Amino acid sequence: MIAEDVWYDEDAGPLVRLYAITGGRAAVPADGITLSAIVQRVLGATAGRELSEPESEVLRLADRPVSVSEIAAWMRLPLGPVRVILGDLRDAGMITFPRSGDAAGHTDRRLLEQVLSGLRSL
Amino acid sequence: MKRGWRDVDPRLGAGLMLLVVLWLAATVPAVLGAAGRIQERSTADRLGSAVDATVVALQEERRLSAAALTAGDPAATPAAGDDTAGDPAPLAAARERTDLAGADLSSLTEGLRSHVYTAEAVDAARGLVSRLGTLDTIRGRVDDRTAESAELLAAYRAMIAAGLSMPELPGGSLARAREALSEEDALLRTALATRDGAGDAESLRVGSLAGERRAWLAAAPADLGTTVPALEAVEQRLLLAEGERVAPADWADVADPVSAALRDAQTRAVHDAVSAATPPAIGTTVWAGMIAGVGLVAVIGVLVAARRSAGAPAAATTREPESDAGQDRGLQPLLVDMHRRNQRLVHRLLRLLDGLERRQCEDETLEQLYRADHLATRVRRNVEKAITLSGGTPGRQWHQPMPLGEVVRGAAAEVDDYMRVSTAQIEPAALSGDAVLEVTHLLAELIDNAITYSPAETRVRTGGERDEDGGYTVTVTDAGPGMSDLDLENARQVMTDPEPPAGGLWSGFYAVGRFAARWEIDVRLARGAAGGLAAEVRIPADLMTEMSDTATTSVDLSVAAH
Repeated sequence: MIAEDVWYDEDAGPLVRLYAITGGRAAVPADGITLSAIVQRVLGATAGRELSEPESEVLRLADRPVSVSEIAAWMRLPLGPVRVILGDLRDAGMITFPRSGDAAGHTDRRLLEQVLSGLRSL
Repeated sequence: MKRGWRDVDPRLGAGLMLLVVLWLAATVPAVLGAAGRIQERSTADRLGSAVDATVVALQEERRLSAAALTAGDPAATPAAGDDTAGDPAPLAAARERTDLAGADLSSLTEGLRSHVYTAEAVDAARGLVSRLGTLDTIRGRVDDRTAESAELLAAYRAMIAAGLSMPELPGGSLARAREALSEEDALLRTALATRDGAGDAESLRVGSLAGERRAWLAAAPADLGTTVPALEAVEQRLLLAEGERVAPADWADVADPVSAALRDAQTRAVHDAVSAATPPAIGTTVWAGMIAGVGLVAVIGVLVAARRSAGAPAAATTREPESDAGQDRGLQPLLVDMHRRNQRLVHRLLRLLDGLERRQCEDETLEQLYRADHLATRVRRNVEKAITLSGGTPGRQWHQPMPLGEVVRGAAAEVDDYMRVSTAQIEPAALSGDAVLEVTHLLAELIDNAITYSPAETRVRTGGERDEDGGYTVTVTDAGPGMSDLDLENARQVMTDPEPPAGGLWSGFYAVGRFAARWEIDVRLARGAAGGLAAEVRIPADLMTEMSDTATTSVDLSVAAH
């Protein structure tokens, strides 16, 4: 008989596994949603379909302009799934990237590293 | 020297009484055992063949219905080698055969005639009979060409699975292998006849059906001649080769011989099973007769002897009723140990996957990792279920309350076709950490059942709201054919019974009952407003708490919903 294994809370792992967040999809929109892109909800827009819980949470966070990395941090998710969700919401006309033109191509390595260490410390 | 009964010593009289009782004690189990053997034979002979006949009729009807659907599709080319496509007469005849087989089966399971069979067999047969009630719907949709291929297959699959769940089905593994091939056949007959050929979804299903068939064949090796390699070669072409078309006729050429060989093998297996059951049945009957007859002669002999003299009764030589309780006692701890080892391994596997998924990698690699993760999660569900059902406590535990939305989504993610589950209507609330695991698995069982028994293109809806008394109710609703009153009653009984149902039937509802009993959760089953099954899970108020976290801000669904 081996010793009983017990894993509490965080050690037990996430209740909702990553694949369930995006329905198993990993493909990020081709035009790339960068880390520092700013997202804002389109007021009054309706999706015309049922929104998943993570999608609703993104919309709530995007009530005010918010960066992609900030959304990932709030939702405690890796960037990949967050970008998939953002792509879906943009396709549904629920969010816009008002300043994405400025941000694209100007990825500051130091800023990225800070964000990364911030994410890791969560 | 005449002596009457009154002269017999009272002690001797008591001894004689004891002898008679012991004789009865040995005779009754032996006679019952013999009756049981005969009953098994009768089941294998009659109910089994009635179920089998119904299944075969359903398979034929499904094949012709699939062909009829393709014939109604203007984009389809007529299936070569299948001259029945488009001709309504064979389908009408097949339906009639199904109805006849169903009526025969129904009369066997009804009334007095059913007492000859075992309870499990009767349950399975009744399950099949009640599911035959869904035939009208799907036939109507085939006739007006509104049925999708997937919907057609799901409807027939549900009926046939009910029949194949009969534990004593003669040649059971072979019948199940044949069903896997038969469904694959129906699927491909439509898919290959269309302009686009078999798509990704069809290929996936073909792969899983082929795997199912191989597994059943491995369980019951049968001599199928040289038919199988050719079939597997065509399946390989379907699954692997890109752009290469498989003509409907090519498929029929390789599938039909295997199907015929399987049918022959099943007939042989049934024949063997009946012959194998015969000697034990005869043996048990002879044994019962000997105990009853020889014992009776002995008792009479002793009585006569006692009447003649006051001699002591002969020592009774009776057979103790055999006890097989305790046979499993040595195995139980071993199994529990295995579950724990598996639990540890799958936990490590999921952690590893978690780490890999969070790394930067190609989209395609990540999607494969997600698939592996989904499979591992389903394995974990089984392992944890096994631990709970054997009285243990799984390793994942929570001190913190968890949001119910996550619990429901976690449960949905534990089943096969999780993308069909809608989880957007869960009122925010927190579930006490202690109950998280059982509530998750309980909901997973109900969602799994809903997914399995509803058409593939419909959604399974979950909902959740607080009750007035501080408790919480989660609902799981599907758009399937629902359950008959008999099935509902069976499911309720299985949920309340602490003993597992015989023959592995209804094991999902049994697990629901066990998970619910741990936390005094009330599970109610009813027919949904729009057909289908509606399961209502009432979580008592003492399991509901407040979130300790700051991230409890609720999401305004009224804006999000259209």
